[in-house]
Amino acid sequence: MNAYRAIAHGLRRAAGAPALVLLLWLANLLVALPAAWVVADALEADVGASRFHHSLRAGFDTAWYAEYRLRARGLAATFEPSRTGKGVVYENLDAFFGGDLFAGSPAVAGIAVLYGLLFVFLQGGALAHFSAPRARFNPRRFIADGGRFYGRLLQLALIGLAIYFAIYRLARWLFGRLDESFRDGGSEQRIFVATVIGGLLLIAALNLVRLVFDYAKVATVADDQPLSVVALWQGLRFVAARPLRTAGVYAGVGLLSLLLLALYARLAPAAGQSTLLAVAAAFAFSQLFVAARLFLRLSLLGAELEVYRRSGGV
Amino acid sequence: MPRRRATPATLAAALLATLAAAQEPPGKALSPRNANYVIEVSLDPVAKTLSGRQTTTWRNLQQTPTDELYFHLWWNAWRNDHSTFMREDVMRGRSDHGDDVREYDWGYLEVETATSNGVDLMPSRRYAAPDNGNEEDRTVMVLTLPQPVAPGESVTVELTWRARIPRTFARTGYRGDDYFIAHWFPQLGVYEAAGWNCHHFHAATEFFADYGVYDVTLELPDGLVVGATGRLASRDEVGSGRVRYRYLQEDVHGFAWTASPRYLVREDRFAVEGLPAVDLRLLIQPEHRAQASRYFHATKAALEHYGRWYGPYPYRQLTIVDPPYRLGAGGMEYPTLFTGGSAIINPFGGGSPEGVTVHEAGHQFWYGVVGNNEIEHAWLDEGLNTFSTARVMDVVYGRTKLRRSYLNPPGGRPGGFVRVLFDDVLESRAIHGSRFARFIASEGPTMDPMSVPTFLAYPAGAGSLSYHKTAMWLHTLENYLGWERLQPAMAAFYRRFAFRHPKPEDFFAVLEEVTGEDLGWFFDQVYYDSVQFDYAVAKVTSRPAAVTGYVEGEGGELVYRDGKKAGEAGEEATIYRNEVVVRRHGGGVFPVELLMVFEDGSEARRAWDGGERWRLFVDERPSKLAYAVIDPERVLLLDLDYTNNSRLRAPEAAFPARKWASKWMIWLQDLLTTVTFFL
Repeated sequence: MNAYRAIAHGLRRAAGAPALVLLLWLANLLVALPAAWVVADALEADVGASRFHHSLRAGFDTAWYAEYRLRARGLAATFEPSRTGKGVVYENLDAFFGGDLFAGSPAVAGIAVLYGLLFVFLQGGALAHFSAPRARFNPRRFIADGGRFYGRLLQLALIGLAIYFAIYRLARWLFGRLDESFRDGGSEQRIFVATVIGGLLLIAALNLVRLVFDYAKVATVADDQPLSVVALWQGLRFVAARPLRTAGVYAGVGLLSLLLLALYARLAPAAGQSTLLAVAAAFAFSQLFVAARLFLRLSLLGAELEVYRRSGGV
Repeated sequence: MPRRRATPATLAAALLATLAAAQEPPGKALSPRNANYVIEVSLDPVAKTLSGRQTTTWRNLQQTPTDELYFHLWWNAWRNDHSTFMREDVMRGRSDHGDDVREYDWGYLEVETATSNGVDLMPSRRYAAPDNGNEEDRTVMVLTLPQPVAPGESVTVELTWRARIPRTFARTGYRGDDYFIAHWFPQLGVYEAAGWNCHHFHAATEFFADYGVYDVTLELPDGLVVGATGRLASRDEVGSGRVRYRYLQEDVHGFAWTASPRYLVREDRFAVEGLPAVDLRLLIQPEHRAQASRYFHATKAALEHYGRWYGPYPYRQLTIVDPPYRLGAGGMEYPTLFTGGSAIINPFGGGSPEGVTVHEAGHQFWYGVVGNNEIEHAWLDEGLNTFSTARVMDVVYGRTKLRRSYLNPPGGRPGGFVRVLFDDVLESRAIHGSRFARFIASEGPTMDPMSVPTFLAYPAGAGSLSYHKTAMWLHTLENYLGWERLQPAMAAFYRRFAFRHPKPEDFFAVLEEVTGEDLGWFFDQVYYDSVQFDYAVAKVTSRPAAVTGYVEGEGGELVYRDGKKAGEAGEEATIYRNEVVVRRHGGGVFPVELLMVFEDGSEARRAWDGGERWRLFVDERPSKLAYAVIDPERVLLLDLDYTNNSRLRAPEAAFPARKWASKWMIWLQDLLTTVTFFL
């Protein structure tokens, strides 16, 4: 099976399991919702009975924000105008590139950990669902599978996190060396190019690890592999034996994700909604974006599982 | 092959040739020209050193004689970490190098010989510690003359010196083959009625010097593109790959130069009716070549608007420098030359590089022409200029868009390569131009009053006082007086103190005289004191004005009346008693206006001198109050909390709060999705 067909298969599998997409999206939404509630309350308390409500209804008000940012604490302090609209894409890509995903906020880190634990569970259920060709989505089985593979996938996730952490640390050290090499010279263009190349290498390293771990997870579920270390070894061997195919599938879905991000950066609702309907429409559009990201995530799992299955495993 | 250096003989010949020019400078003198310099300097690009020979002629403008000359040796601020500059730099937390200052990063300026009329002055040399008793600081050198310089008399001193170029501190130094060289030669302090005004180089302050004629010859390796204060008088190749550039400029109080192999040169001309023409020369980085027109446009905007508002730019040329990447020289002003700064991806609309360009070009007026003491009263140039910059930016470019930088270079500095604009988040002159956010962030009960000399202000807060607070109160004055009254006053100040050294009291006096307004109450608060301003609407209520309870009836008996039912059943319309309680939370007092807006769309305005701690305003009419605003036009920009300046009777914050939280939530959801990459 070539990469193109595998991707198409993955997309079909995800499209054929709308309940699964809905479940992942709901989980994402429900984890974020209480936090948004906290921020909404903080914004409402800060705006209070002031006339700023008017300008904030019509658009954004930098005069109010200049004061708010000094008063905001905790989760509310992560509210910034650049984290809305198209800024969502830029901020999170930059955070990913810099290895600083939590905006310096312990509250955001806590939410991310919570969501991560939940996602591992959902991922197990999703992989189990995809590993049974043409199976209809069964919530009870999904939950059972999620629980069944939870421990093993969590172990893999923890091992992976340690490796990702090491890669970021290594990248930081290497960027430090790069910085040192430019201490006494180097044009902006050269440093820009070096930074982009460095960034691409970092992203390549992260994605390579991710690729191996993806197939380790697939092996865990598809082969019911009880040992995470063995699953990781299986994933490594599988990728090493089929580098083009596995990387092609991964890169293909990655490209689709990048296109999605670019599209959202282009079309993201701006600040101007002033009616409930307009705000709801903007919110719904943005939820489509989130759901589409999760859909692609599921598609990748489906495609990778298909590649694994068709190749007869390791 | 050894490099050919300027020999004593060639230097002496050149000095003789140029000395006359300095002693009898061309053109009508705009300034007292009492501190004149003829300098020959040679750069060693390998050792990163400068060798200089200078003749300084100083005339005593005061009524008292002096037998001492005080020189600033600015670069000794980076001689070691015991200098006043380095100690203060730690306090203000804004180091150029952090803790990573290496052996070749340090710089110094060492005077090797000093003579006057053949008398060796070196035995008399000492270092002064006028500000803080720091005997280890070497930034102020004192030479004792064989005889006093009488009022109106002149003295000539010849110095030779050697300097090690620092790896950029305070926007001066080198990085590789790129050089930005400022405040690099022994420069005289200012002799005032009270004696020499010659402070240490402080971390949070800049410079102060007398006006004069500068005749500077730079001997540099070939292959460098050079820019400098003044006009290029000659360029001579002297062999061995060395080139001598001679620059001349009259009526300036400093001289800076830059050299780099990477500069591209672009030229343009400022020519608008009613103002003198100025030749513009831009040295720009190749990566920014497409932004050349933006640099020129912003520079012309500054020259035109400052020129029309305050007075014309008096020099024939102006050099704009887009400094080499990471040289650390961006955003700084020097006589007839300034540095801007940009990024490789920098879309138009976010105020960069336009903002920094207008600001530094504007310094040619506030600092260049009006030569206040930046060490003692930095606000007189920085504050006036920040205010003026914001005004020009508003007039020429309108509201700027929120700008964020992404993709940081290794090491993080100087910020992201990719600048992204947020079209729907617009910044205003009042808030962004004067840096309101920085002002309120730093403002607090422990802030120094602005009357504290800048070099004595808490280093971490001195900048906010000089730039932001001054800009805020000047803008407040503009709102209060009107630009049509403030502008002539500032123009008068510019005109009267061009090529002089004004003090704060001069500025206040001119403003009061020209506007015809007693502004002492205002300056007492914003300059001599550090009071904070905060007015608030504490309460708004509306209830029927008719009485509820027992009142005397027609027969004198007590009858019960329900005020809430007044106006019902065909009676007259209900009259409402609308009450607004306003409070003054801060110590500052400013006359403010109260706006009351009623549900039927009618409005009422009430003036308040703002003196009491609180005041009740009552308005009775057949409509309930919708909301009240104290200072509705936001005249008092110094108000630290404008959110509490308005109050609706029925808060409506829920909708916008949920709207914006829902937008923020997408960020969190996307971040969570991004996190799953690792799982």
